[in-house]
Amino acid sequence: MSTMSLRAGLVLLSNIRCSIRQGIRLRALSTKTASIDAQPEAIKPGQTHFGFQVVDEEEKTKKVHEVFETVAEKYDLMNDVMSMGIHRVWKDIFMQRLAPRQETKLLDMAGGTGDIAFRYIKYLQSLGPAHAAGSSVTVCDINQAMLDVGKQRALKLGYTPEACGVAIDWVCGDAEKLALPDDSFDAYTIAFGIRNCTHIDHVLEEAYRVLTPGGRFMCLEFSQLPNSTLQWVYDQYSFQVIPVLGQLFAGQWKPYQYLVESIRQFPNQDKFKSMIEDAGFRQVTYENLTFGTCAIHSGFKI
Amino acid sequence: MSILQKIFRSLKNGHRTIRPFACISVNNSRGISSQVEMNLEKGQNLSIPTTFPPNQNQHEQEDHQYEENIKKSILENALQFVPKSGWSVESLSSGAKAAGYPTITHGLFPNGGGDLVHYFNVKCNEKLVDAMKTWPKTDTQEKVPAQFVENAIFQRLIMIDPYKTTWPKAMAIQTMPNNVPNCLATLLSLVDDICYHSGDRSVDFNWYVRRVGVAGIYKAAELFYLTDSSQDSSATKSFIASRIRDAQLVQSALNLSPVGAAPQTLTAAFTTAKNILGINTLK
Repeated sequence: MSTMSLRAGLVLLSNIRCSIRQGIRLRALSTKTASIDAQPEAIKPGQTHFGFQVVDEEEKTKKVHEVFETVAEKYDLMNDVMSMGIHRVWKDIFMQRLAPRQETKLLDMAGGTGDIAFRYIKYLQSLGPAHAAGSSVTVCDINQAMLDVGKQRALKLGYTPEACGVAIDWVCGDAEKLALPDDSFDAYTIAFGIRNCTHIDHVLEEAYRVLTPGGRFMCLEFSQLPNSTLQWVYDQYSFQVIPVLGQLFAGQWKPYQYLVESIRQFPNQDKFKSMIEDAGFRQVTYENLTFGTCAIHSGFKI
Repeated sequence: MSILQKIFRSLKNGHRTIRPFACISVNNSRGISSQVEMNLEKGQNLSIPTTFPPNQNQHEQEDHQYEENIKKSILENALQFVPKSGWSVESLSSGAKAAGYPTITHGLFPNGGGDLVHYFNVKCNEKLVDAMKTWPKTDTQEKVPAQFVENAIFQRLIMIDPYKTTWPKAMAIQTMPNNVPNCLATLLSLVDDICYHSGDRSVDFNWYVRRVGVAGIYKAAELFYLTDSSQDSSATKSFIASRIRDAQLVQSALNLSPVGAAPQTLTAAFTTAKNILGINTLK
């Protein structure tokens, strides 16, 4: 009885909060573009979502860039704080599913701080010294600030080509317009990055282009929980706790507000799966992690 | 082939999950055979009226066929690496490389070694079916076609020979929970094929008895074969023969007793019960 009323109270509170937020958003938008006042969710050609806001496409790219510029230094700390360390497990599972072997050329898109790249090297090393030979990883990120953090970490961890046998390239580039030749990589990974891209379909097409026939596309991204009760719990945590944590640990509220909003805007598992298929990939599958908080999507260029 | 049978087959193609069960109930010589063979039949189905648009179906089918062909070529290439690297992801990635794909393509087989073992089993079953079709038909008057079953089981076992050293590992892989459904399905299709080609057309309870019996004999013989070092595996051959004899004995014993002796057994039991209770009216 008491739990029911408590829950009802919380729902009421969150409703109030939502409506307040809605009001703020409307006002914020009205100063920019008067025309979308009436329908805040409607997207016109040339516009896209930035979190819950509707912005011009070039503006999103710029805004995302700003967000990651501001969070780069605290990025890894914040990942640990917000996910309570679980993001490490997710990335480990991700690498287990990819299961690279010898002579694999990996393109790690949006992998600025090197989380996936270092796991990749570690995985190859664990297979034995012969496996690491002939493999390479290209870390590509749109943000130089994130890449700099990654390079620093690589030095600190001692992942030089001489020491680990795997060559690491650091490339600054846009996932939608890669300056890389066709059919040049065996695997393409993107972990918690595709959400921030303006045109997801362009990213997928570029991924398809740079992969060799037989190459594998793998994506780790926040997703939606199929269970509504769990989704409610997750929503409460995301909207009430994460921005506060951002303020406390990184001194930033807005980037973390954007983070949780962008997660809600991202297509769900099945929708994203069909997008990957539309880009030309075959044998597309997905796997939910932690009840669907995250999902690993996988597809092959065959 | 009647239209009904065709519809059953197309149903089986559509629902992968029920296929192992579906292939039992339909009088089907092939059981769970390869995708390729199934798809050819599916193509023929297009000529009969169906409820779904044939064009889309054909397109999907071509896609499916294309993917299956790639998988098949990788698996086929992977088999040559099995003696060296076992039923493992290692073999699969070497196979992918040999088939002209990057090593990472082994991810097409999320079950790893389990998928490779399954492919090998399906392939051997098909080979056995092809062989059995050419064998002379056994005398249907004979109660149990012992010689035919013995030959079939032995033929199937020696197909393992090139991979004999790694086969215990494969058997272990098959018992892993996620591989059990596939493993049971291939075993069932194997015994179903053997029974069908040996002339079994029963539609009663014997249908189950025969198949379970042959499956038991096959699995026992498989275990025996692993440690059999005799010339030409002759010990395995005699092992199978004696297991079939056992089965025949059991069957004849079962046939003899229950129905024929039921009234006497019941009367005896009844009299004993009455004696114990002290109400024997014969006194």
